[in-house]
Amino acid sequence: MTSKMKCTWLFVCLLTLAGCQAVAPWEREVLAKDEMSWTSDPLGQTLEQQVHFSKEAASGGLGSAGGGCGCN
Amino acid sequence: MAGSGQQVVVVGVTKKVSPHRQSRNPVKPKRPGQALLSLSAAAMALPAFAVNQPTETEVAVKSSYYEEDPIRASEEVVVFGDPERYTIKVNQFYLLKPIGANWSLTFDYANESMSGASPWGAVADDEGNQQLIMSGASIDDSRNKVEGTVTRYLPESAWSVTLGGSREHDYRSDYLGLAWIQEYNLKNTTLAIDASYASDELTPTDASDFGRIEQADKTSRSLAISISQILSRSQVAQVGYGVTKRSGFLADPYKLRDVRPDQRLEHRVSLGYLQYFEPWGARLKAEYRYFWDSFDIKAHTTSVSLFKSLGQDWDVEPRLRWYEQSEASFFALGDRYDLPLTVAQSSDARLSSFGAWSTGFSINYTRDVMKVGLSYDRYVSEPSAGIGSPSGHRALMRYELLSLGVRFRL
Repeated sequence: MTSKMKCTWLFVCLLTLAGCQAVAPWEREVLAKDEMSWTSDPLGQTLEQQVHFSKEAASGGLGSAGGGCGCN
Repeated sequence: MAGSGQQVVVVGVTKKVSPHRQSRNPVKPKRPGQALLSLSAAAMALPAFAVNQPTETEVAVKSSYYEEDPIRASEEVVVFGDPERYTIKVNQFYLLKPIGANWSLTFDYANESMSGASPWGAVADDEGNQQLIMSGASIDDSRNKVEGTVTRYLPESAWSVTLGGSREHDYRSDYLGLAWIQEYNLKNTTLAIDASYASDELTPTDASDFGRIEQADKTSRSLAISISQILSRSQVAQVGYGVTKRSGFLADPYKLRDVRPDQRLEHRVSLGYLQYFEPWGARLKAEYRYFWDSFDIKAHTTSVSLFKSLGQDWDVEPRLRWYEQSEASFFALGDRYDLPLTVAQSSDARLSSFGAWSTGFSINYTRDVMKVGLSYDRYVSEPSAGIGSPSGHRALMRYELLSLGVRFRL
């Protein structure tokens, strides 16, 4: 994927997001649920990402994590 | 948050680099250590805190058991050492506490103890058949990590500072993370920016006996930006971009011949989508990441999970993840001792071209302030799971991860 394509993708995504209707605070009961957060299990997510970090070349960018040597 | 990873061919690679050389002296099975969670690095990730101050104190503990499959067909593949791989026990602790009207404190602790063997190097014949040189199974190590985050909440924004450190007997890492979140558009749009810096020091075991580097440093600098947008009463989407620059000793000091460039620039673009289906009490989560770096590695990661409420107390979440990467420009299926130490080369499986599938599930029981969760994941990497031409490395990883945790909200 060329850099130009990547930028185009990102731009399209941003445009899509920007075109959404506002949801009022009193309409956010569902959005407030635990399972609707990007990180509902911080310990599980940290561990999962660390495992992937130590076994794969790519890292970061999805949720939260910590880095590391990952040498084995 | 603060927070934020690579075959032998007889062919290889010829990229001039500043030499970060490895030992010339094989044998003597001791420990190519390092952990699963060996920390250092930094946060190349998206901030994990919200704009709103938490109203409850949250305490969580989790114990996990991680086990890698032995090398397959080891009698043919392993020419030296032990085919058994790592087992790791992990204990984690997490505390999130609101302080006053506008602050919160997060404290995170992890301890790991690990044992097993790992690849030291590889040889390949003219037909590309690879054989592995493994360490002995005597590797035994532990790691402790501590991280603390202070967050300040403002009317439509929040900022946080994270300090963390990790210690193994041959590896030290300290890092600092700064994050800022701002809400816009009547709190329907959230912009998050996360910067981090990590400083790591390696002091490999038995360095003089094996000709390993005795001491080395590396640093990582990361910057990530993301926009999260509420799409409807039950839909949220996120798009993010992150860049990380790593400098210093980026090779594996325990490999027999591993020479890598001393700079690495990584980029990633990520997309995320959450949708809740009210009639079924279910939530779909889908994520995609495209990664590319200065080692010429390109990787795709896609994951999907489905949360489903089972009555008032129970819920279950099956998940599926697919990952694939191309090989680094200096990857080689067999170590090349004829090349000078100024030429980059590595037979590390993690720099090869491969793909991986992982499947898993979590099941949780919630009662009052307590939530108990059990999760299981199975990860299988293999050459054919990727979309590119596979490198054919024979030490690709398969593992299982089992976790049991409990969380209280007080």
